[in-house]
Amino acid sequence: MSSIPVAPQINTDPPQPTRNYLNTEHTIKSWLLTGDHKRIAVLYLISISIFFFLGSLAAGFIRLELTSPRGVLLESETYNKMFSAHGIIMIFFFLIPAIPAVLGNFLIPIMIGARDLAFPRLNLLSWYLYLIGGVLFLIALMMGGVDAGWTFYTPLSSIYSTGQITIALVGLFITGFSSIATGINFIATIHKMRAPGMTWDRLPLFVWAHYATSIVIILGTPVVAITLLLVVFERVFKIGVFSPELGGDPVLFQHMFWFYSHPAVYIMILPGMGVISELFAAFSQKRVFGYHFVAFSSLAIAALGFIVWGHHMFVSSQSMYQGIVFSFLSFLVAIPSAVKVFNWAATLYKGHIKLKAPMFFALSFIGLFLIGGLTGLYFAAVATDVHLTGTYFVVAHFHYVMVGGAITAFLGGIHYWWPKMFGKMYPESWAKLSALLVFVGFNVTFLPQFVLGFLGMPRRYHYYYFQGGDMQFYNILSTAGSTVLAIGFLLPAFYLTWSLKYGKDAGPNPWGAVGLEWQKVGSPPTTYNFEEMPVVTWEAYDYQAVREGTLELNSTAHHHESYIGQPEKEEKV
Amino acid sequence: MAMVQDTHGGHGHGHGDEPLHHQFEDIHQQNETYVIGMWTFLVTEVMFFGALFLAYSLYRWKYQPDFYIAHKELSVFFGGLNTVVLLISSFFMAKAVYHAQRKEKRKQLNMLWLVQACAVAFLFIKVVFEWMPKWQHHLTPLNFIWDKPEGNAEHAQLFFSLYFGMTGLHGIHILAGIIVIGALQYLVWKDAPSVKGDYIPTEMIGLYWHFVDIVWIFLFPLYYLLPR
Amino acid sequence: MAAHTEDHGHHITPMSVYVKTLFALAFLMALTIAASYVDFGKIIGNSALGSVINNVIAMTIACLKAVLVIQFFMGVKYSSKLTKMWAWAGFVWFLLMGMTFGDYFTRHWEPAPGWYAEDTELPPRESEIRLRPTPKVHSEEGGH
Repeated sequence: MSSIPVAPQINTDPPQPTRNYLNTEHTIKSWLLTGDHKRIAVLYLISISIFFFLGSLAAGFIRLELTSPRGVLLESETYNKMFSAHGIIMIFFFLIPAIPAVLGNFLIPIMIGARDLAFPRLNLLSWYLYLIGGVLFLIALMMGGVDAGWTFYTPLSSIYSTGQITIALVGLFITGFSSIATGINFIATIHKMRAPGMTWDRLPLFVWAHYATSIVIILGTPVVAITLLLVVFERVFKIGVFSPELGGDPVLFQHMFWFYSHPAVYIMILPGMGVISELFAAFSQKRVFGYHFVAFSSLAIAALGFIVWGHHMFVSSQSMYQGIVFSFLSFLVAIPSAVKVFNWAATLYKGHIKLKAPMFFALSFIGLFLIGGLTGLYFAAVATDVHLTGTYFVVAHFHYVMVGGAITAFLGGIHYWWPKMFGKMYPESWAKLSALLVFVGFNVTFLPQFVLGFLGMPRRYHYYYFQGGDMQFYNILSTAGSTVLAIGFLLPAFYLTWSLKYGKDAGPNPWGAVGLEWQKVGSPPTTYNFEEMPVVTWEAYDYQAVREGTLELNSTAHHHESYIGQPEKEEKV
Repeated sequence: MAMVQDTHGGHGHGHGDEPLHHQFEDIHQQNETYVIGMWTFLVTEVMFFGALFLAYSLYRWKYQPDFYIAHKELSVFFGGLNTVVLLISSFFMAKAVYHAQRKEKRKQLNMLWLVQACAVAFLFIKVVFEWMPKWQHHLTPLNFIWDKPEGNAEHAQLFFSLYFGMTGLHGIHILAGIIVIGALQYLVWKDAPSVKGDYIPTEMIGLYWHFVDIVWIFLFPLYYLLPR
Repeated sequence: MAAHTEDHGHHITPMSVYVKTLFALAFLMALTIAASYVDFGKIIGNSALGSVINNVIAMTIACLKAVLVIQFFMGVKYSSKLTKMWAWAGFVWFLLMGMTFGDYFTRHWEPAPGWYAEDTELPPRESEIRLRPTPKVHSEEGGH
């Protein structure tokens, strides 16, 4: 193709971009060898959706199994493999890449006014590494599966486990480098490729969140990579770093594993928080309250996230004195998280709230994340942790953060940016239905698990017949809820695909939002995003300027008032 | 792939001979971005090796007497020789970058050849004079037998586990360096557009190479010069 | 441009700096090998403290060498603030090291005095039992 893309006609009526990143080339090769961050985002979207489906399937089997207290569906070993597969797929192959690799990849260059990420080929490599790792893990599954749980604790994983640990770990090792590549790309891009006028103070909070996430990725992922590699070495070459027979300490594995895997929680949730900040600003037509606090709380969460990992190890042989330190530091994480939640709530106050589907997801995020975050404090305190760790209480807690937080934010973000990514509107009422089903289904699934955990049901067990009828009642309730949740997750797969062909044209700015991605590029964007580099002269989320008339929204928005319309002019009171 | 490699000739500000990728505004932005990217990558490498150094320090602290006895099996001479080889290779690499900056292609290629020679020498010494005798003496984790009268056999095996894990990983990095430098030499020799007139690829590979040197700077005293 | 306002002209380090660095590195290497043959334990009559001194010397010299390589061979001394920031960010690793050792250093404090109702005697310290796999000192059900 030619070196300079032909300027598309994005700002004239009718808003029909003649050429964009989707229709510029149609060959399979042009997709598989692309350097375009938007196409790579789409490739990632497809692959993580497949893995999400597989992980959900495993979850379905777990829930079905637990309806009976005696485990009639799966054998014990199969059950172990099922929850291991669920955890590994969902964490390493869905949650960690979900928001950064799809939405972050697509939006960061556009939001900061760049033509692409700093290293397009590295970006493509990242997708291939992800794919190789994923395929290796699937091979491990087909050859007999992994039964060590997603945490791969030694010496179970290094000595005793008979599953296909080695192949699975090599797969995860490779996948780790895919997220490192993404992290390096984001950091270099955000530092060096911002458009003129796009100062750090004007960066969208989505970008701030991804910057914090990238720091966590590049500092944490190598540690877990080498840790998993050491387990592989222990299995293959008998290099016994964690082997108790040689005087090695299996708890060292837990230290090194959680040094990454606790911050990994923030890799999953921080981008979600970035999405939520964007959604609240756009659907309240208001600047995010306390912009700087929200931005720096992302960095604070990233920094604190690295010094709290020991709260996963209160019941291991970790020193209880160090446990006290970890406990204290873990409580501190609540502060920046609460700063975010309070600021979002304050953003809504006196905002011009539009209850569109992404806003539904954003609002349910607040509620679910609040419950997930506050139950986290139970595990920051040593005493309650000893009582509750390893029960369904912890399962419920991290699902509230991971599903209620990260996935809800992901769905909200996908709906919000869907018009930008593919130029088509999703069907609004179906999306609202999906948001409602997810919210209701999720709560029915996981609220009973808090009770179950408090009653003493251990996680990773599928026999609980010695515990009487109460537990079965809550388990069946939970399974029923998960069915609703599954429908809530399946619906978008259908109507979003449907909208690709039958959806209404979105126009460049259907939400009347002020980010660069809405103001300066068409929907879908062209290959190099901007024909000429934008010069940013307004603050992030400057809806006040729109109302005062000093900042003009991208003109085509008023053709689509059915979606959200122009923000009302400020009423003189 | 074509669009990745496409360059926007029009954007360069008086640096027409340097390749500018489409996503950058000018060559300075491109160079700085590459350097930041490389340093970020090196930070991940630090964490990568750091985890191993953590495991080493922990067991060294716990089993110092046994580690001291086990370390006597290592040769300070060959370890020191390899240190010298790597230090000199780092010097040649710095010189290669120097010549790349001054656009002296011939000298740059010569320096890269010297780096390659050092790298191969390092691996040769490592494998032939250090690793292979360990195998013959049953000191690798795969065939470990401890027949010395003193020292705890398990802890000695732990020592050699760590030794082979860390020097092995370092060796893999050297090997990767040889491949990457070889690719760079080929591109420079062919006057490929991606490196012609641009010193940044050499600089980045240089950074990587110096990092590998730094890892050895720490490995050498930790393994070969253990105090009692 | 806001994104990159630093001075643009790239710095070419003079060759003499590289030569000096190389000689400094070679000298430091000789020094660290020589120091390793000195048994400070014997000199000051305290083997534990002597071992610490040996370690500190070896690590200090290694750090010095690393700093020389970073500053001159890798050219961080002449680079932008941003590069400097990322170059030194690798030291975050000490966080992992420090907090993990915080655990191992304090493990032998346990159990705290008064943990067991009957006996207030502490189990042997880790340093005393470290040559053998740790036997379980107090069994869970033992004699309460």
